[in-house]
Amino acid sequence: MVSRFRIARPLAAALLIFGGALPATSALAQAPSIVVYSGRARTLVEPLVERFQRETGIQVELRFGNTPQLALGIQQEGRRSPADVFWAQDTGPLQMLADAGTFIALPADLYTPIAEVFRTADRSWVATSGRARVLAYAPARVRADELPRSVFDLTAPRWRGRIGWSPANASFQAFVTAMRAEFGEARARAWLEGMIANQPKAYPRNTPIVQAIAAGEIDLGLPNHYYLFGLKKENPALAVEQTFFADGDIGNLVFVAGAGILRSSGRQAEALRFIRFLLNEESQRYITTEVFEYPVTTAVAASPGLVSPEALTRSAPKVPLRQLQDLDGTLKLLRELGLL
Amino acid sequence: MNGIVASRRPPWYLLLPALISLLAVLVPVGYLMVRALGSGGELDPLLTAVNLRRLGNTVGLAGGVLAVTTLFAVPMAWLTVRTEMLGRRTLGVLAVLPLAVPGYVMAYALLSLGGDDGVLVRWLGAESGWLAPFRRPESGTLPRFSGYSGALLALSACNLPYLFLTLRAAMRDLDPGLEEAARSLGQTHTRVWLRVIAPQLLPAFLAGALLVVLHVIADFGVVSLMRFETFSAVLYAKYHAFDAANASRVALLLLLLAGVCIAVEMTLLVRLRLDRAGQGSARRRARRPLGWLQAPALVLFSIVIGVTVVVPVTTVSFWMAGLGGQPIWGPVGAALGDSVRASLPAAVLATLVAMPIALLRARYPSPMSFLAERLPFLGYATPALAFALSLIMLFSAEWMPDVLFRTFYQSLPLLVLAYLLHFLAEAVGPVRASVYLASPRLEEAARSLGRGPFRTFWTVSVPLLRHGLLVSLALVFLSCMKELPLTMLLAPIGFDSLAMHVWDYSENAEFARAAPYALAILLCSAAFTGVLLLSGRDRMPAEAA
Repeated sequence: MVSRFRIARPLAAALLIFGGALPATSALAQAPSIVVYSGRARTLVEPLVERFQRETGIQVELRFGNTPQLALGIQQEGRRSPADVFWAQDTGPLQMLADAGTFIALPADLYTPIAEVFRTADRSWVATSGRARVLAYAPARVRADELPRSVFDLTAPRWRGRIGWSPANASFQAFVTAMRAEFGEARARAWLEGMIANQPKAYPRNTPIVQAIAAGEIDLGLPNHYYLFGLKKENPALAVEQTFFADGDIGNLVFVAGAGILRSSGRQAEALRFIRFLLNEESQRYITTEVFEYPVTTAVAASPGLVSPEALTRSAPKVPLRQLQDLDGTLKLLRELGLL
Repeated sequence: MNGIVASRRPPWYLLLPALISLLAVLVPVGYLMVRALGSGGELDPLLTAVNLRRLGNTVGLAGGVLAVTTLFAVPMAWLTVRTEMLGRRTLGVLAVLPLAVPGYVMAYALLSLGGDDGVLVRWLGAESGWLAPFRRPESGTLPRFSGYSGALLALSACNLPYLFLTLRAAMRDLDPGLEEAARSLGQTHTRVWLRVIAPQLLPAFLAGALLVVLHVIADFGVVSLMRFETFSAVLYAKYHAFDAANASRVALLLLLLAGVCIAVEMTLLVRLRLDRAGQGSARRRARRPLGWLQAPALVLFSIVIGVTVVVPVTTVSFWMAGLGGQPIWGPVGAALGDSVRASLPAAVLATLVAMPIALLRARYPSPMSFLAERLPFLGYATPALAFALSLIMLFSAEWMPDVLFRTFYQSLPLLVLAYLLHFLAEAVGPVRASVYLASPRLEEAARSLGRGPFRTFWTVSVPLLRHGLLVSLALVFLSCMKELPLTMLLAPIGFDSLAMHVWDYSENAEFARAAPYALAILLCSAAFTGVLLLSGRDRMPAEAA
């Protein structure tokens, strides 16, 4: 007789595990609880959430993921979405969801402690931290006096093949949107075409740009300001530095990460408490020390190593956040030029 | 074909899994059609010059990866199955381990080899003479693997095990009687290979090759890090622009490309009959001693395992070094538990569903069984993000009763079902190859001796297909362990797999924190695969004659 194939035992085990999971998944929480879809990093969110749970007794269930993919999920889930709060890394998807009426209007008093430069166009979502575009460079291969003063100078032939950028990245797209708003479509197009002629290397995200500078693949890059701090925390000897362009240059664009409360949420009061918590002093201080982003509330000082809010306001171009809304036009332009 | 049974209607227990296979395709393809034809925004021109170039890149990369993996997988499988190579069992398991490495981790690992701050520089020293000829003339910097060659290397490393495993399973099932008959009729070695062995390996090769090609077509993580623009970049650009309508059109185009590959495979396998026509069943064949070929064989394996396993493991260990003395293993254990309790049931169920599908195809050939066997590959070729969104659409639909939504949406059974439907093709491929080589005579003999259909299935069919089944289990388990988009959107809230942790930390440049989770994926997958593959003994089922 042929011996029984040894699948019966693992199969039984699998069904036990599988079946045993079923009751666990339908257990309802007893304490008040909210569900947060977070496009932000785990190391940032988890300690904040823990403190929130301790201080308020409201349980927070977290779903981590990629901001655009979570946004697509929320859109597809519709009115039955389990999410109460969407905390986004990039505001493109956030704004698109807001335009579709996904979020409720937040109370006006929420915005009073927020610095002018971080105030949003409408009250469907609120900024939770500030981020700035910078110029990263390799000090070994680019002298400080050679550094371009404006992002428009990057089309000069001396930088041919030496620049890294990330057209697929939301922050870069926000920057191009600001450029189009400030200087008009033609100038932005001319800059992009000039850059393409300079043969930049395209990376999928900002971190690979900084890593590529360290590896010697490129000499200049256009990431956001906080990546260098994060990478240097793990590797202090990293051979990369960064600087702003000249004060007011469009290349120093300041923008934000933000959060909104879903209209479909049945726990909007608790969700609002969570958002207020994110904007309070302790949380803002934690955000700036942990991920080196700029606090949005005027009461909190930025982390040492970051420029002060006054210096930031000086260096940033005067582009109000509401002008960053025409993402579609930017994407169309980038597609026409073959960058997307 | 197997004319003996063509006229009989297939039994219900074989048909039911075929229906599951249909689901595997209807749900995502239906979603894509609905979204693609839906309203919202203008439709972008898809076949622009830039996109056609990217499409060409995808095809070129797929062809290159297939060529490289074939070049290595065939001799490696042969050496482990048909010769007395030293350490063949361990090396055989090690060669499968790259499947446990998520693609982007492999890409990071290869990237970190080169560059001025890379592993080679740290190891050999910046001034080393070995590195001097590779440095760029104008800046003196050391290049990294990137572009086509980087993507080719990374994807070949990741996908080699698909071909290796399917070929190995088929080689174990080869009938030595056929080869001996050919030789006794005066055929030379080469002709025996070409006329007898190669055709028997064709189903297995094509199954593995299809998996490799579909993987390359769908990949985005590796090619984006390697800065090689393929057509998948178009898909993700549209999704990240929140443009589901145009993204769905691109996904349908990708499915069309996959459909072409599947059709090519189909035409190559039509009319193929490989099982033994005479009495008895295949007996075990003796292994060839290697002699002086032992050394080159070991060198081959060392190179392959060095690049595909040692490099990523070393990179992850380097990342770990950045952790300092922080305690780390508690949350890793919880994440491991989560990963396994979704991956293991999915793997078992996928194998269970794949078996009847493959048997249906071989024993009751008809257009319907043909379709049932092919459809899972379309589900496999669907981008995982689209798959997740399709299931969300299904459950969030207005006609779905609230109680069903509340019980099943974002529950573990739903996640396991999603894994099952998406990865079913990985289970069908290897089993199918084994079915081609298994004779129906044993099953018929069992039935004629009075065994019911279920008993025959468990006691005769399953052991015959055992090599293919173990491969199916391993492939699906490993794929589920490193899966991301489905888990991100469909897992129960609070469910955090190892892969989610690795992705989250590496995305935010916290590689040290990612390292323990990545190592856990590697170790768990190695253990699982080791148990599966080492337990598959070479003993053949008893002679029936």
